Amino acid sequence: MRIVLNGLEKSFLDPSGNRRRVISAISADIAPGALVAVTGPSGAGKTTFFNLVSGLFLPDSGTITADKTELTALSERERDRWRAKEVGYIFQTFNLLSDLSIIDNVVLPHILIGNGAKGDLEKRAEESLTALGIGDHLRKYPHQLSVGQRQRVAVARALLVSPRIIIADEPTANLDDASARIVADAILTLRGRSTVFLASHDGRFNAVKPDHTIALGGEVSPCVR
Amino acid sequence: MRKVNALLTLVFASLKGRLFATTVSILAVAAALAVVAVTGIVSFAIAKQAFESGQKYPFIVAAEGASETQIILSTIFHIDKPRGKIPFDTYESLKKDPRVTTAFPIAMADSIGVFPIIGTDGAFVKDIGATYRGDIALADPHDAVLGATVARQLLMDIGAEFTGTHGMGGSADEAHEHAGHTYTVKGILDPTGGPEDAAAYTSYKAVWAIHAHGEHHEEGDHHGEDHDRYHLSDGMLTAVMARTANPVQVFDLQQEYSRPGLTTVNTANAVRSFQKYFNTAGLVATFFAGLTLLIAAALILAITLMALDARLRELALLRILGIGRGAIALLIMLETLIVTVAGVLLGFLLGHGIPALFAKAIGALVGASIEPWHIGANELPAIIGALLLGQAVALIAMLRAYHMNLVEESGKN
Repeated sequence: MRIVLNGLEKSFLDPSGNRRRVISAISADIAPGALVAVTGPSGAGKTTFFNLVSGLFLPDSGTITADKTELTALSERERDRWRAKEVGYIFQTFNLLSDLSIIDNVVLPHILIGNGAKGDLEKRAEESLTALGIGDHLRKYPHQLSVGQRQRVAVARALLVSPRIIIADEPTANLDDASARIVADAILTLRGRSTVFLASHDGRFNAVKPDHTIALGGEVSPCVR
Repeated sequence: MRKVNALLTLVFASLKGRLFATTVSILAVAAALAVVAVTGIVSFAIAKQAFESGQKYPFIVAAEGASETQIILSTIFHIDKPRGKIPFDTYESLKKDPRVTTAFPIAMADSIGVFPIIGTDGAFVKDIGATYRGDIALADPHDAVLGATVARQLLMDIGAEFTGTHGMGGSADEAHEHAGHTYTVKGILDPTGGPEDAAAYTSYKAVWAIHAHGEHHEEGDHHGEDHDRYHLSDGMLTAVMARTANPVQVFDLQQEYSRPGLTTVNTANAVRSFQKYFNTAGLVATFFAGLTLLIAAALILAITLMALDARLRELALLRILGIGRGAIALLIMLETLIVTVAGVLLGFLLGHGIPALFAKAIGALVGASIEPWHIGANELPAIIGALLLGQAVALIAMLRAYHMNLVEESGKN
């Protein structure tokens, strides 16, 4: 999916009531299947940027266009539907629903969103979880899994319906080496099929040259491609 | 449909995840409604019993000094003590009165275990209308007829013998056994669910015989006003119950028998004030149940809002995944509604199921036949009130969830 960012600006009121600009003048033309590295120090606005790209927040100014859809012109409900269909999220913290079983964590949000039939989604989820090495834990609950296993569940959920945009926010942080390798491989194999936005300090990703780098904290990289 | 199923899976998973809070909320609603239901059932049973008795025994004469309610509780329900004695000729005079179709003597002075012994005659026992085993004529002063609960609890059958204890459930130091007069069980009434289940019937002549000369108590063992009240010597009764051919004649009888030493009761009139008393008691109980319901609603609201704050991250996750505000608000609303509806259902089951399970015991306790599935006048409004309160709580929680910027709020934590 081609993503065009045009002059994105976003500011928030900080706790003392002062307006703080978090995203400033970001423009980029991102080709379908590109790997986009999002860099910047902690607090630079990476999460805000991801929330803008996914249509969760609207920018104060500027536009986001995904293929022919101008995201910033859609209503909240339309953006919800678009995000549900097109975006897969992998967070630093795994963000699983603690009261649901592993299989339900992967499948249920997609059923609610209307991304497919239960039987079909469950079959794909089982395959995906098995491929990620946690096929034996389908009926367990998140607290029964290790940190690395939980992140793999989050990866399975994000990739279940082959979204055209993947947002990976520090996906391997706090993971053991084996789990980090599995998660990193899963994300990198998507390059070329999905547009991947990746923020990570993990050295495993250093060897991979991104198609774009969006540096937050004041500077914006030029469009490479 | 699959979206609804998925939503319900989420709702029940969340409720299960907060099992303690969910259980407390459901129990709070259930307890309030069960109180309303039980109050309605008992009030109805007592009112019905009083009403039927009012029709069956429209005129009662008892001793002066007793209130109409006390007389009804003692003569009809057998759950209060008689307040004094009246001469036997009151009975004889009523029996001969052409306006009176039937009159029954009542002499209550003793008890067997916790059950009162009603001194009367065979005609009264027959007039109860219960089916029975054995003989209920009370032809001999040693004959006794037992109510079903008495026979069951005291493990007595026809032919069993017992002696009465002086007094009507008074303090232990007032009570003493009438060892000199042994009763033989001649008949046992089948269960009726009414006050007769928890009473034993003997001849009033037996009561006289026991108290006139049959017992010589040791000095100082049981004296005072209470003892004197139960000391029914020859020619004394505690009440007379009568039936007239025409209800209007009760007013005439009341005027004629309103004389020193006697209290007359127009049962139909008394039952109305009696019902008013129970209605008031029912209203008080309903008020407290309503209060409990309000507390339950506040509790559910507090728990829901606290849970909402605690679950910000999870709800924010659902938003990020593309689940709309409406669906999340619906999720919160459904959780609250399910708790309320579960509380209402459990309250209904407890409020009617417990009386159904213990109908006989409760019936014996209140002296009236229990209809456990009767829905009292206050119950339906209480159920509707609980559901409306639940709906209001759900709406508040839903609006809060809808207007929260979950992603930003979760980021603050």
